[in-house]
Amino acid sequence: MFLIAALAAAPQTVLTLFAAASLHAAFPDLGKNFEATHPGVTLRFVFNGSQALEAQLAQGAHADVFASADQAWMDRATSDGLVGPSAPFATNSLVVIASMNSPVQTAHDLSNPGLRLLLCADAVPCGRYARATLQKMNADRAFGMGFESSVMHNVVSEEENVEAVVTKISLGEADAGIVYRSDVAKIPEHVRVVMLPAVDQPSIVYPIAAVKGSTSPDVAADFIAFVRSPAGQDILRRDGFALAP
Amino acid sequence: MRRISAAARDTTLGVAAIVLAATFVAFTIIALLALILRVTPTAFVAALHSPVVSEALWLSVRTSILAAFIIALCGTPLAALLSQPFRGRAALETLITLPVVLPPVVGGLALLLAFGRAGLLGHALHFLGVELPFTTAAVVLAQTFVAAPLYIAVAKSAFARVNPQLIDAAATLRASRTYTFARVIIPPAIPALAGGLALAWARALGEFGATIMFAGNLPGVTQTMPVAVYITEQTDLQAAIAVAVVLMVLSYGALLIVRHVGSAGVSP
Repeated sequence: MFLIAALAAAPQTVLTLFAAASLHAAFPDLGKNFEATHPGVTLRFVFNGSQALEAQLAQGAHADVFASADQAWMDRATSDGLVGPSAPFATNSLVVIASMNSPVQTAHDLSNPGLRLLLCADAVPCGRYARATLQKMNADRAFGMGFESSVMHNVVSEEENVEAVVTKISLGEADAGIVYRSDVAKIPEHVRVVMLPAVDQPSIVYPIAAVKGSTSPDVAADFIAFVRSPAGQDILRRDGFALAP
Repeated sequence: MRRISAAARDTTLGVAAIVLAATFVAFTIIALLALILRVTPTAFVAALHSPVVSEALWLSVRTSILAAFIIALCGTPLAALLSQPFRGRAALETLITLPVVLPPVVGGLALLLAFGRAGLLGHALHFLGVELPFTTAAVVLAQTFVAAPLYIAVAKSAFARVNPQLIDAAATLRASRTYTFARVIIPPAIPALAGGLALAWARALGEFGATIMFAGNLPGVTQTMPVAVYITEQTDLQAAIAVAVVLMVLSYGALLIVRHVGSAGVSP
């Protein structure tokens, strides 16, 4: 009885991690590893578009670590006085996923009239990166001027995080969408992956930072160090990310 | 002695009732005030003029009115049916009420799995040349799905309350079923029907979860006011507050008008 009481009284630290939606598989994997080496620490994840997470932090939501899918939202969090200094921990790239019953086989097909495409909204990192890629493809001789506007004309919905795009394409509700390479590390059901030219893609760097006002700053710093360590980088690579620069 | 304690009890309960009611009113008003106090007049005017907001506003008004029309058209006969007892009435009624109890996102997912391209009726609809997800029609359907039960419940009670003696009298005078329904059952129910429809319309106007799931988010096509507020809030809180206040003012005004029209329909 006393043993149970003593165990129950053992200090439990709960670390709350606000992470970009695309980290929904990688962070739990990192978490399992971290919890195994740090008994007494439980990790709690909140996944959403980085823009939504930053807005919540600005409204006073409690978190210990913030991992964003782009530097812009991390910079906004910094200028809002919400986080400490940030550091990059992973890079990513974009791919097209097409539903099995869609006619999209190559990147060129995206501009075919009558297609139904999904992108993330403009404020979401994935949406921003996708639009930047399309702009570059527009200037790329392989695709030509007019490519970007034809593709944008096919967009039927702007989702607020990348996982919503993946879900709707898996369900077969739209023809194709632009998502992260990490989303196809384990290829979702009923989709086909189509590559986008690397030369037209923007640099996609994920920064991570400790949130100010955290009740466990040491554990937060430990987690960040783990994510950037070779062991952490290994896990990220297995989940489809590329290494931090 | 009994008389005194009864009066004292009345007073105590009366005061308690007022305190409870006042607490609830304060709760609602404080929340609404918080929105109003944070908006600046310039932001409010800017919001009214912004193309994103006017597009979203126009879309919301169009779709919610159409949804209300469909709800009145299909919901009224259903409510009339439900106001009469029959075998299985309870089961049917509970089924119809389900969409209101379901979380809206679940409702949207259900609509997607039923009427989406790869859904239950996907092939049949596709064959008929109908594609629903990501269209304005999908917005109307999502709103109808979540708001209809509100109208049907109110309408059903209104019809059930009509004095059966009036209906009997009409039958005695050999009035047809149509005449009875149109001239004997509906008129006394109109204020309640108007109130129920206003409630359903307000719910349709504020619908968000099912819309974003089934219809998606595309400015001008499926980005209704609530969706616009949500998306804007993530990048520009001030603009979002202004849009929210615009929506609030619009809804309040429209509800007032409907109530006024509804009560004006009461025959002396």
